[in-house]
Amino acid sequence: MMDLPLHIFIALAFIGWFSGLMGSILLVHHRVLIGDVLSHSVLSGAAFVFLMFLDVSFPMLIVGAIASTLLAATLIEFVKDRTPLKEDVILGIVLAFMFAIGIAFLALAQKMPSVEKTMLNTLLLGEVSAILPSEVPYMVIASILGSFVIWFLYRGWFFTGFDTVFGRTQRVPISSLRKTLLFIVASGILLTAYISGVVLAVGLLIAPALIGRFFSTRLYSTLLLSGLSGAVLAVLGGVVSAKVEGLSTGPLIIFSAGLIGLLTILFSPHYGIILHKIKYVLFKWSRGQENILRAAYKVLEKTGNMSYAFSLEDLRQACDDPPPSWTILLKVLEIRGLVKRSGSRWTLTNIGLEKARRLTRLHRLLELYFSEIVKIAPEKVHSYAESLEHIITPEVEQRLYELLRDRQYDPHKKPVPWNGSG
Amino acid sequence: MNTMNPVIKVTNLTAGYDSGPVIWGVSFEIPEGVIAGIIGPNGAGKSTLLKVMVEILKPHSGTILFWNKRYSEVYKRIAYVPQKEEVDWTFPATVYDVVMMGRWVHKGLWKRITKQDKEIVRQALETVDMWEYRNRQISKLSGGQQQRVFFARALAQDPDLFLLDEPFAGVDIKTEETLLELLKQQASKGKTVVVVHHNLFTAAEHFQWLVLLNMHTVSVGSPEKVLTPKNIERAYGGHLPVLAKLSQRLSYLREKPTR
Amino acid sequence: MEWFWVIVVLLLVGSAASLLGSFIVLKGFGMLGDAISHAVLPAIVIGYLIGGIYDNQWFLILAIILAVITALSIEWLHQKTRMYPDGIMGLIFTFLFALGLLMIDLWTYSVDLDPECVLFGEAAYIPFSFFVINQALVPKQLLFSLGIWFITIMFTVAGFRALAISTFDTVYAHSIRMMPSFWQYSVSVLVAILTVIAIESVGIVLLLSILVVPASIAFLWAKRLHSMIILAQITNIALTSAGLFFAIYVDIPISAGISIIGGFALLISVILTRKKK
Repeated sequence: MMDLPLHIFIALAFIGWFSGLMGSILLVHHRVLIGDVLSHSVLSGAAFVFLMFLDVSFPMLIVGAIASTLLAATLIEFVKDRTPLKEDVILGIVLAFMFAIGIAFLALAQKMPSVEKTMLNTLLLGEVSAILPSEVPYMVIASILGSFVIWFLYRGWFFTGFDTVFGRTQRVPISSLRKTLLFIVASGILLTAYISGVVLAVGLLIAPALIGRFFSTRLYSTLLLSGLSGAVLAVLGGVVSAKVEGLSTGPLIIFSAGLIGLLTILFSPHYGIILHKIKYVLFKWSRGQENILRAAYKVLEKTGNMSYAFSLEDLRQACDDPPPSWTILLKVLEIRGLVKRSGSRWTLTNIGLEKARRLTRLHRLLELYFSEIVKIAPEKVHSYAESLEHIITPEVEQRLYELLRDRQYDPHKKPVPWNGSG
Repeated sequence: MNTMNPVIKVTNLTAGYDSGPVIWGVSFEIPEGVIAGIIGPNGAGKSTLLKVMVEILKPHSGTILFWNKRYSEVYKRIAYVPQKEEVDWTFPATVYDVVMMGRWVHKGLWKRITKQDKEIVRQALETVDMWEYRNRQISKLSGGQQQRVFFARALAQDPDLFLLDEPFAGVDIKTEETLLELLKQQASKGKTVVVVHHNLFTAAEHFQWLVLLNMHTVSVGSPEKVLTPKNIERAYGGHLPVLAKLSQRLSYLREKPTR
Repeated sequence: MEWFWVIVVLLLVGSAASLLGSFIVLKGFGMLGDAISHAVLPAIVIGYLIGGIYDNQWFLILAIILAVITALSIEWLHQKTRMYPDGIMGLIFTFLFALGLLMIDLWTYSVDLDPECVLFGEAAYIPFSFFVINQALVPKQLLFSLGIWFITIMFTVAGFRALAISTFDTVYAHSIRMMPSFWQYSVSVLVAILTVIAIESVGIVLLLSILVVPASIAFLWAKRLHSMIILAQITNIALTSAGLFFAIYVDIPISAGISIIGGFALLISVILTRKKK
């Protein structure tokens, strides 16, 4: 942290916080890509101000940028109101248009004698070290102000984001609120663009927003978490780029924010893709064990000898839903103390037998339930029971027992193993 | 039933979208303290009618009065329950947050939530049997639970008139029965309930007052009066395409789209 | 002669882009084109890095393969994510674009790519690098553009019905085994290849513009898919020529000139047409 001057640290923290806030509120409205359009529009306003007044001081930039982002927002709403074009397409059109204007102004600015034109180039890909201590107070005040407005309209976002119909019936000014949101982002995105560059600014909106949203269930926690992670990510990128020579800060901030954002998506508790996958694999393996136990029970039932030592071949023949791996799962069952191995044969232990009996009972009761109460054709009930028996809750199990207490045989005339005698 | 002082009085209402009117010259009254059903075939304009009543859509012509007043004067006393599909269930909110929205109607964007408000929300959630789910994320609710949460929100608003848009679509029979029971309770307290409903067969047993609609008012009144074979034939029978055709023609003729 | 090559290359790239764009606009995936064109930057940088020497064409093939993989994964994620597909797409493309920029920073001396060039493109450079065919000098860009243009035309002609049905009604297309997702993926893949080929001359901004603008203008005026596609082609020719002259006249990058003219043309179309929602 030694290499990062205090004023830049403060600027990064506040802008990161505010970017996260803007990003999360856009995200829950499913309009986060609008941030990309607005940030690209910053360039045209800033370059225009430069061309007109040869001035790139921060207040001037703010005025120019807000004018152009507001123009972009107006264009989006105008085309959206008047055509059946989808919002995504409109965003693409306005982005290309506004950014092209910015590039054109930039090209004209290059011909100017003023040295300050390099400032505009830093706006393109961001250059944190260009932040002057005198600019930081503006940034802090703007971030705080913007955060307050978002917080102030907290209840309003429920009506605009969650339930506009109800909002309209209660005369909540939905469209003013939506315009306010666009206005906040249009003015705030300049700050983001200042540190990450206009091209990548939306990354600093999205990454913290997704982190915030994926770790919380309510709006206020989403907002707080997004703001905090925005601040942390921005500072982190700044610190790393201060340490490493030759890497541009803007891309570095977005790269690290994106990386952490992606990891979040993959591993977050509620919605994480990887975690979901892991759970699924675990489920498949536990289902495999249950299927082996049930197959073993079938074999034992056929021989009539509950301590019969069965072979792998016996199991294979008895099992209709083969597990991912016989050898591994049998080993797991052995470790869990449910089967006992002797050479190439296995026997069920007492606990194993009890478990196998319960599973068989559940399976056959489910078959009964489906064929008699749900009235599904008998030849189909097996596959239904097969897929459901593994996810049954104790509550459902109890219900099944009560419902079918007096039944002795399943639809295929096999006995329901109610007690130890089988 | 007090038919002299209707809660809702709709007169000569014509309304619809840019593509032409969907309802034509609709007139009816709904008395106080009843459960009323607005019924009719698909495309009859039932939901459109409800949306015009709460001023989500502007009428082309005609008037709607609640307690002889305009909607804008009394909207806080009217709770509207939208169709489940019309809202964004991925929004980061819990069941409790959604029901609290009913209190925000009275509190606006900034007024403090008091202990009393929290108590009302708790009662509403207990009434629909969802109190134990209060901290559940709304995306993890079943269709029936979503409907009950919506109804709890309407209760929390503490209105005198409930307007429900297809509350029984896509919910299980048990939820339908519970919901109906709750609506009856409200009616017995003197509140008025209006339900948009598409199932003609359950209409007679569910409702004490019916508005049979198919782009125009076919019949209004008690179920015995409305549900005659002749009326049903008129609502569900074949002569209506004329209005639909007219509506199409109008959309071609219209120069400026109204919004 | 040099300007002639510039115009031909721009028209070819524009023609291919507005053809693909017609389906992108109808599907409403405008930002997907933007995302893919940004996200393939690392692939292009790696291609340049390994290719290194100018005359070696293998970098192009490598870059295309990597770009196709990137495009496929973005499309896949876009289709599979249950929550916030837009947010996740935005995250991935900014992440990859930032990665590409960092790679350019790291290997400045071995990669002949300039971040600004990636964004704006510089069509005026098109005639600077040549192949020698039958003793005639043919610009490389011309050959590549001709190639992708030909592939795109063949793809659209061959798959016209399937593309039309998949765009209009995915569920129906699925039910009659037209494999809608295959066609959707193919469009993304072609956009990725187009980006790799055109990035130096056209730049990302113009690429996005020619993907969505001519097709959107055509969409506003046309009544049928056939006429929309043909109108998009005509619009592309008009916009490219007008934009080129505009850019030369006021002396700005050609990519910016064409995009600005395109934006104005679209606004005028919005005002003149009254297509209802």
